[in-house]
Amino acid sequence: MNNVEILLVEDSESDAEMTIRALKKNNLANNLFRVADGAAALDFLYSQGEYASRKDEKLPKVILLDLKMPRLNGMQVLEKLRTDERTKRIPIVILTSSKEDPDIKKCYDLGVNSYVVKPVAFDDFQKAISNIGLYWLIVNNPQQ
Amino acid sequence: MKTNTDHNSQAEELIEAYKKLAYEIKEKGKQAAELVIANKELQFKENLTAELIIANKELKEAEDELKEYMHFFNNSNDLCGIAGNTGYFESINTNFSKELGYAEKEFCAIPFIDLIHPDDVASTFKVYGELKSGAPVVNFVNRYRRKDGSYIDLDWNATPNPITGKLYCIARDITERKKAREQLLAVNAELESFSYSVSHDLRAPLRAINGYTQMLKDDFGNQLSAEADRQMSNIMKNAERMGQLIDELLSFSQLGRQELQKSNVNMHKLVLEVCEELKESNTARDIGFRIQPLLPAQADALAIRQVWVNLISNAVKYSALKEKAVFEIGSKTEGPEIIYSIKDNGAGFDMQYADKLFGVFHRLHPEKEFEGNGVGLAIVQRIVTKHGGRVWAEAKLNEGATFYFTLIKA
Repeated sequence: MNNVEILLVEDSESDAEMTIRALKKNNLANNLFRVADGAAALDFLYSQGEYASRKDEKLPKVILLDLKMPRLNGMQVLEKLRTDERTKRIPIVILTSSKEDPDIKKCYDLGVNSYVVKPVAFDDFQKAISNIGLYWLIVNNPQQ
Repeated sequence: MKTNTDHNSQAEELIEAYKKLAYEIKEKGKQAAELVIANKELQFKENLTAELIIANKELKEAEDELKEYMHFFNNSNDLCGIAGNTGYFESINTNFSKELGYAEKEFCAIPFIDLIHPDDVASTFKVYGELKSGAPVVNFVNRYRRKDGSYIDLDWNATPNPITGKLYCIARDITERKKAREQLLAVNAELESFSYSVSHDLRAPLRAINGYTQMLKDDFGNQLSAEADRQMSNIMKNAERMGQLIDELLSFSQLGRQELQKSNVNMHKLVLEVCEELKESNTARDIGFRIQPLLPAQADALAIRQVWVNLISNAVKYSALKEKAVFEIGSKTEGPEIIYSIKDNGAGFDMQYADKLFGVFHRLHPEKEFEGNGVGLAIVQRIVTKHGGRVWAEAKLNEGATFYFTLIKA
């Protein structure tokens, strides 16, 4: 829970495992933390609930956020993070299964940094995930 | 003397008689003059009566005419009314009072703005202002409250009389139409969220099937036989294909929901562009296009472009076994329609299966021979049908096929 660089918010065990594996291939998963739904993501970021003991930690460099999740969904998490002074500048990448998503526009309106459709083909999936990791952890110059 | 006396009395008598006569003549003359006057008066009265009769007749005709027009007024299925410039209706037709549940007198005693839905009052005032300034109003929609408290959706046309300031108003009840439209929108929204679920939830497990098979290959590939590797490759190929099927099925269902944006389409230019693109993506093939000047049409340019892309790609695909593929593209008018056609020299098909050609996921050739999902022609049919056109094909096995579709003339 220390120095978390990537916060992965993903309810699907398979997708989480594949995402982590793709990032590991590029040595990008060392400081990754995964939560399984939106409510846990907020608890983690604001050091509350089950993460109350996590104090004064740096914010992650990027949040990979699934849209369809139990309890709080990705859009609700996004909305909350963008309206809170503490978290409104964290880069957020939405990962979703569908380009049919009716919420794409709304996500951009809410200030998402990137919106990525998870490809069905595993090679493409791996490429997409490692590109995201490389870009946000290494290329991007984060706001301090 | 006696004689003289006699003469005298005779003369007196004569004078008397003469006087009498003169008097009578005078009297008669007087009477005659009076008669002339009386006659004249009589004549005048007669004329007057005649004029009165004519006036009466005209009045009656006007009344009949008015009655005749009142039939239109009162038999109309629309709500008709005449409003004064004081904010009240002066008269309404039978249907108006029937639809709103008020008797005419009752209705005309209520300021009409009191019966308008609170959310429509502002827009109604605005339109009322336009009418008062002399401009007619067309297709203005607002809601009126019935006597029972429910609301009716009305679509108004109104004309003002600039001299009297009166407004002649006709409204159509569009409550049912609005309800039907709202239902349609609800069904569409439901369908949309269903499509989203399908695309999201069906794809997630596919991604896992694919991903874990690949992981198996990556992690344990060196412990597995070539046959095991082939079987895993097949698993992945099929998962990816199912992903494509989901995508195509979704885009097909989306087609039904999108509204057409019609414009004048330069069909010749559009087809040349499509042919050029397909040529570029099939450089290994020898393809010859013979394109006649094509007639323009009134259509959704993007959708019709998809029709040509699918038809020409189809021709490219099914002529793959020919050394030189030749496509003839043409158009002609027939009645109110334009018929477009594309003829290829490819594999063709047996006409007894022609009815299966345009069904979703229907294919007439085994996948081994020609790749495909059986969605392309279904999309063609859906787009053309949405434009009010028809689509069909003529072919012979191994002797090529001709596909036709029609559009309404521009």
